[in-house]
Amino acid sequence: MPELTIRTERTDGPGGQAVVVVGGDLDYDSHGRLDDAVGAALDDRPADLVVDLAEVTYCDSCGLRVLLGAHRRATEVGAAFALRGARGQPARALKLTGLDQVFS
Amino acid sequence: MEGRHGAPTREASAARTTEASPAAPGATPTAPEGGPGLLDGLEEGVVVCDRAGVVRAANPAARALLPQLRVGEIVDVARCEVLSRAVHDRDAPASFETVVVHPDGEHHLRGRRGPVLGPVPPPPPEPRDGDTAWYLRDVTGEHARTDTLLAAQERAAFLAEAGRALHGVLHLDRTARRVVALAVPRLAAGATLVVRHDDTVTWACAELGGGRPRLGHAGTGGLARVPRLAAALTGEGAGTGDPFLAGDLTTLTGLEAPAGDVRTLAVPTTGVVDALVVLAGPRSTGSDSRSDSGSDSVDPLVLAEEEVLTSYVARAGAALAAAALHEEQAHLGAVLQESLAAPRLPATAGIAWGAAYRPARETMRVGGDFYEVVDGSERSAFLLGDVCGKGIEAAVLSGRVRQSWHALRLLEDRPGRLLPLLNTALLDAVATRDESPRFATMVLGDARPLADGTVALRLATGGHPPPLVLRANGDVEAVPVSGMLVGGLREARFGEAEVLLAPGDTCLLYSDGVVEARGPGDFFGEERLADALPRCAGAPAAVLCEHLEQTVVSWLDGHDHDDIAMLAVQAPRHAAEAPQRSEA
Repeated sequence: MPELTIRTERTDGPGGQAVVVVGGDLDYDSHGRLDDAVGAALDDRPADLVVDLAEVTYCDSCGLRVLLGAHRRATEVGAAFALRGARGQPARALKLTGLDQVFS
Repeated sequence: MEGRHGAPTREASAARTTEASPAAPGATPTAPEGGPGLLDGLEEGVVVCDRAGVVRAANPAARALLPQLRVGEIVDVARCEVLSRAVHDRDAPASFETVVVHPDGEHHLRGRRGPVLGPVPPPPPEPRDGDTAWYLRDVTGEHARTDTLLAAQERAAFLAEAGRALHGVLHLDRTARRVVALAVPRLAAGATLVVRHDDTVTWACAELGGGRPRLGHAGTGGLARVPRLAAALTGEGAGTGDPFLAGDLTTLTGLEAPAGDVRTLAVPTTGVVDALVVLAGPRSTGSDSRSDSGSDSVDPLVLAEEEVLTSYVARAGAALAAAALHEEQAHLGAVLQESLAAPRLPATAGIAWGAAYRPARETMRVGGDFYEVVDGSERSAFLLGDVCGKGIEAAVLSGRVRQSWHALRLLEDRPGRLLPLLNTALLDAVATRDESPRFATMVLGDARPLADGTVALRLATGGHPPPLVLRANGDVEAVPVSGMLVGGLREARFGEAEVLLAPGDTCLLYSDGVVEARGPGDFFGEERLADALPRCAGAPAAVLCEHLEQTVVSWLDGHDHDDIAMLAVQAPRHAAEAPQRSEA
């Protein structure tokens, strides 16, 4: 099972963007780490928060919950939230739960 | 003074001679004929130099330490720099430390200026037959250091053993027995532990030579009979050594009162349980030889023993708290599991039900998947879903979902209308508690058996894989219905579909644990599930679920999996329920 990897890329200044690049398995055991990373990214008050799921191999309901929570938290601090790059099982999970419509 | 320096020249030559040949008679510390000189027996190296730095004498120990040294030659830089300096410079410090390189490595050498030989060389004793020589040394310091080291090692070993013995026991009674067993005889001749956890008092007692520690239980009501003990348990009791406490212990345990001195130690347990240890005949904390020698000085050994006691009760407390918490959790898990266990399937006229449920291998066997079936006079309602997470958190959420469903379906029976209600109910429950988002995915619906043997289904889904329909002829169709997470979004939309099952047709609801079962290579996947289904055509619903479960388990090949849940709704074949198992 691929270990979860998280990398945050930031562009500074007003209107800055934070991109949280996630890879590996986003599941019950690892979802808390993404939650922490999202919180840290939002601490810098970016104008946009993007979560890149291109390298995510598996996303279970706990992972979806973190994404939903990230959306909520970003909205609360006035950041625009977007998901990008999901493919394979994570893309199917987002479609199945209707979250793809929420995040698009 | 003069003489001191004048005379030795002779000796130097004498010493030099000693090196080469038998000693000249009368030469000072050198050997009488046939035996070593007095200096030769010293473990300390002795070097005698004259004013000019010429070595007048060096015993074997000195020669071993400084192999370059020669009697009769000057101590120079090459032989030993620091010694050379010390000899030549009368203002040099009276002691030094240096490193000497030997063929076997570096040696640290410490030197000190000592008393010089007397003006007249001490007359060597006349050798006599039967003489023996004794060299005496004060080794108090060495012994004290060794004793201290051994004692410290023993204490560390005891505490390490205590840590090992108590670690991971996670069973209150067993932990209690081990706590007292550890104390005897290391800490005392007898030890009694009393633990109060919820409404039970557990005691364990070990005695020197008493074999396996004894253990018993009492209700907390019984504490009324032992007021001193009860007070001590809450930390309010009289100080250590309260003689009445021993009597209370006897009342509680029914065992003989501990003999001798009694010492009570509170066990720190972070509030999970109350506990204390009573040591009978506690080991004297000072060493016997120095007992009562001035009560004002704090003996380091006494302090160290006190630290052992403190560490011991700390370890005991941590182990007891962990065991108590574990038992609480196991109990909670058992209660939850009972209330959340997969329900019995009803016997419904005109409908055959089948189900499979395999919780993830993790603790407590309380998973996030669930299903419910309620038999009705006209329509039977069913539900299969999945909440995120595992363990208690998942159990609580799935309980909330099920209860909400049970209640709401009495008000609204149309699946497509029931789901939005459920969505709102779950969102409200979360919102009033400041919880992080918690949602479920599910398929719910109802089944109405019709007179012609068909079964009419109404289905709605929220964020869940669409049900599959297996026709009697082996065709497989996914029910075209979709919807968003339930309990995640206010604005969620849910789809509804109707399906008519002909006799022998089966509708399968399944959780994503089925398709996301990850074997050695890949996910089991929707396609493999759809491929496996036709082989079950014609099989009774229960057999179908069992077969699919086995297929998924084979796919897993021993790998861990999420919860797996399946629910099959079937329109029975008209003829007798003859199981018509098709071959694989």
